[in-house]
Amino acid sequence: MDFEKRKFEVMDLLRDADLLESFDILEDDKQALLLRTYQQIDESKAHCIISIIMSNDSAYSLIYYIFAKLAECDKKASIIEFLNNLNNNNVLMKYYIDDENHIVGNINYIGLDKNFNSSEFVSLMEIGFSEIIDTYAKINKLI
Amino acid sequence: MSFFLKKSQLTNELDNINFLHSFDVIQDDDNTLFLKTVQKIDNTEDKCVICLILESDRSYSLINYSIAKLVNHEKKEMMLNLLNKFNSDSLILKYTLDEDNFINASISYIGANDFDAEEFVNLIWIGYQGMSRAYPEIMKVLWC
Repeated sequence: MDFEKRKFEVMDLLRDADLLESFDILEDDKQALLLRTYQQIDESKAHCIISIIMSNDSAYSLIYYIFAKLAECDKKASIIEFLNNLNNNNVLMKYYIDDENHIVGNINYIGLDKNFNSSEFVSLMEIGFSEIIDTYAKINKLI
Repeated sequence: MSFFLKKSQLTNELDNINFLHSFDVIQDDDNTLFLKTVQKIDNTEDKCVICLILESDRSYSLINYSIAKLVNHEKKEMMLNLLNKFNSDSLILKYTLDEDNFINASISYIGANDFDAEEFVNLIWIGYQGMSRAYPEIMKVLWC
């Protein structure tokens, strides 16, 4: 499947699921598709930024969830240990704290051409978001 | 794709590149294929254990590299910080310190219906290169 078709299928599925309009299209050209949305993750109106990144020259299609920020550095060690435990028990998602102290969940879907399944990719984004909501509830108590 | 076909495509692909014989078959039945090999880490005399795990009831196929063991518990925090940095930097590898204090890197190849054995075997090599690049920094924390 060429890149144009990959992009088209993903955007079409997002539209069918009534999700596309919630995304900002930050880049959409021959090289890359970059979509971003803000989604509420709890009743306190905490938000998660979900980014979808697909590249023409890469077999990796990426989903990032930025769902919290570590404000107190003295808690960094305990959060990193907590994320390590999550990473040990989780096959789908990779968790880490980035350089700006954001707590990030990341799914890497590997597949080019015939191995890229757009409905599987969009499902993964939704499954991943459900997991992030659960994780946020746990992590919120720590931070 | 049936689980049997997935398994046979993977073993055929490993055989094609003359790599299958280096694996021990730990489990091979209707539910699981579990292969294990011990390989030298690039540019060192040290070794890592590479495991390939396919399961019939999961959409994920796993490649796991067991890299080293953290013996000195006082270095746990420093090691977790380093693994967090690797997780932030690496696109495909996930680094963890497990309950037995082994340092692992892993790749989840996601695909319920589509499994490309050639792509999967290629990932073993890509992951191995990434892990080998990270290894000196892991050793620094273990030995410093």
